[in-house]
Amino acid sequence: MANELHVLDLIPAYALDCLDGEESQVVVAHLTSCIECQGALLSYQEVIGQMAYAVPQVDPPASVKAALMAQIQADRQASPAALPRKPWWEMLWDFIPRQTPAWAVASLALIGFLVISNLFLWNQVRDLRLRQDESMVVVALNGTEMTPQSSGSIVISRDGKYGTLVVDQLPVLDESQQYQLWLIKDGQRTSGGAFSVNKHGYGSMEIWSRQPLGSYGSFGITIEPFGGSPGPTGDKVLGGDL
Amino acid sequence: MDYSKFDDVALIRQIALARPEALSELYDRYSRLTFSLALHIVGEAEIAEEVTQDVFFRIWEKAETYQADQARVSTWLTSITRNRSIDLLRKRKVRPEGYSLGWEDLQPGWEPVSKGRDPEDLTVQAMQTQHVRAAVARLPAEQQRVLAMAFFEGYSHSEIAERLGEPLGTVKTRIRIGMQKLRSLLQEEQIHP
Repeated sequence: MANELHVLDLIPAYALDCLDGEESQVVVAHLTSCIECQGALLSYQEVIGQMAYAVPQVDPPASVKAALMAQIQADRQASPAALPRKPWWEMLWDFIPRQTPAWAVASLALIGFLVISNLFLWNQVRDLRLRQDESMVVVALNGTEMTPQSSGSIVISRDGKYGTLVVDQLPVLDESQQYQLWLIKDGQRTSGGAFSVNKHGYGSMEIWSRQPLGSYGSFGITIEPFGGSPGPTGDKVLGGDL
Repeated sequence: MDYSKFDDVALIRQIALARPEALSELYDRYSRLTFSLALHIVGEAEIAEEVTQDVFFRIWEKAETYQADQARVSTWLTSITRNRSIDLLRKRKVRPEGYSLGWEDLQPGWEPVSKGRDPEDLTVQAMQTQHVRAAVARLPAEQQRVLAMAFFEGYSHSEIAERLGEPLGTVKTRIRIGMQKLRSLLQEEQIHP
């Protein structure tokens, strides 16, 4: 970075905390990514630290230290967190009573091993759940009274933009009719496309939608005139909720 | 444990582990510096005592946030002391009557004798004091003045310009050049307490 882009001229005043707001913001922004200016700041902060030695050196009264230590004592009693914070290995060591038999130490080690194993397994289960949550969504479609044997599924992509419909054992319609998928949200029905099935009642279709499929709460399939209708007009044959 | 053998950074680590004895040792080392700076800024012993206690209690609470690669412990302490003192000064909005905060009051002279302190520590601190005062004394008077206003009173560039009736650019230049020169002078002969 060229020197003129640095804020070296502002660093002494920044270290003294006497820059006015706007300039201070410029320095703060620059310091986040400039090692050279960070180094300059440290050196000026040292200067400021030394400037304190210039004042007449006077001892505080003994009562200040007494009050400080009393305050710390009160703080420790008020907050268990302020009790000595030992490293974990020291805390574990303290937990084991002196003169403890070997079997007790071994049991403790075994318990520790089991706890760690459980944590490890718990993490694995959680990861699997997360992966499952992140995978594609499948919506099951069930037949109605008119088509109890029929079934279907809608598979929606992770981002909700794409979906595929698969149906099975739907009645074969005559050439003037087609099945039509409806995407339902807040009672409003939007067409997801019209499709036909083969002679075994099997059919599939890529779903087209302006909005993410995941934003719809329910899905339904009705029998409509060939090419589809603006809204459902025929009998419902399959339906399911997200 | 004999904390007097610990260096400053090790003491801070011990304080972070909630060892009051470590804080007691740090207090013994730096309460004089802290109290003196606070007293010079706020001008009243009672308030300086309050600041000193507050500074060390903050160290107790925040020791784990100290970063040794960012500043020496003494620099960290003086920074907290200065900020706390200036905050109090601003809140009170008045300074003790007839009280001045210039460098001119800091020339070599009588210093009260400290009781119960390690003579070697006191000697090093005294040398440090003389070293800094000598460096400041080599700055032109106008640079000393703006640095004192910024350092002891916490005034910004524009506030100093307004109080002195000087152009803002002039004040900025004086502070910049004064600090650069001071850094250079202090680096010529480093004395670390």
